Amino acid sequence: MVGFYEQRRLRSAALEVIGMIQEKRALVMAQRLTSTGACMSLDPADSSSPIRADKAMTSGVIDLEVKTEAGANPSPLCFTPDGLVLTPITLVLSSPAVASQGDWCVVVTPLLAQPHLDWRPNGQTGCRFDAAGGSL
Amino acid sequence: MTGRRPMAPTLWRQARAWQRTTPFPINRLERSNGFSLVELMIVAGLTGVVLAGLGALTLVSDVQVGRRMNSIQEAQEQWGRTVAFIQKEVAVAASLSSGPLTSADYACNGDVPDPVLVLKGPNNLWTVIYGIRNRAVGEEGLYRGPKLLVRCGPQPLTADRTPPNPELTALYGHLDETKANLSPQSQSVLLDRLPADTPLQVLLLADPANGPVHDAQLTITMQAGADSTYAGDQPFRVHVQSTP
Repeated sequence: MVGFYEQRRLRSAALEVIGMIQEKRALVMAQRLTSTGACMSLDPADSSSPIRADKAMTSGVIDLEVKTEAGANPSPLCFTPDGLVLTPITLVLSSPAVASQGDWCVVVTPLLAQPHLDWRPNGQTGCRFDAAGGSL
Repeated sequence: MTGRRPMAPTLWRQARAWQRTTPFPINRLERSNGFSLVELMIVAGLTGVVLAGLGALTLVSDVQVGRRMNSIQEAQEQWGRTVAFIQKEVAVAASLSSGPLTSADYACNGDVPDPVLVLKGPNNLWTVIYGIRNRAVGEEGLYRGPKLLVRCGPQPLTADRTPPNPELTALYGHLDETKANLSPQSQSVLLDRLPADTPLQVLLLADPANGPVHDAQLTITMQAGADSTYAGDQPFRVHVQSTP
């Protein structure tokens, strides 16, 4: 029961992250009019990242960790001049303060950069799209 | 006359008391005047349960409506972005055609989509195909709906051409010219949540036998939820603006 509650809490945090990325995307594209860079950092430890570990989240999750499926720090998310994403990105979200039964995965698909949400149970190394997570 | 023993009257009264159904003659009207504390507590408890149930139902309904509205809004945004993307890419093409395609005509991996809209660049330098394919096994959690709108073709540029090259831009638009002839081409999913029945309709607005087609009408139907059809299934036109 507690695990289910924590899973939903972490899911709310993942939805917040998706919102942060979408909000930052608009900002990056607007800044691109006066500069050449069109990338955003996804590392919560980076002060320029829209995902801030020290930022109060509505879900109440603190110390949110954002990694790749391999456990590395994620690469910056870059957009083309048309605002497209060419490389799919998978982020694994977890928090040491939330003892959940797994982690949530945010998948950003290429071109139109649609964000999707999926679930990775504990003990598994990859986000399983056929698991019980489902999309947004 | 036989005398009774001293304890006999007491025993007699006790026997009479046992035989009475009520210990004292109480008036019926006085007995029904008001409720006992236990009765009031039971009624209050039942009322509380009913009110709590109604409140929970209202809350759940409100949450469901909110989620449904978010889903519809998200569907509208994605549908709009997809339409704008297709219109922009068609604008830099030279001609349009529709399917059906064979596997030899399809430069991407996987099943050949159907129906399709095929974009040919100037001098047939590049080909982009929009079409509908089934959701594959393993994509159930990632994509919603039984059908997906996919795009097969060269990827767009990662950055502006530096320095600007109007000739290349006229030929390739925003596409990467170095990847125009790659094989296989990359396939990207543009939209999910498409229904099983006629998710994409392609209507060419000219006869291909009479020359290159420059206009077409598309209809993309998108489901916002499992039990609803997105009302934005309105047809839209795409138009080739480049001149060969």
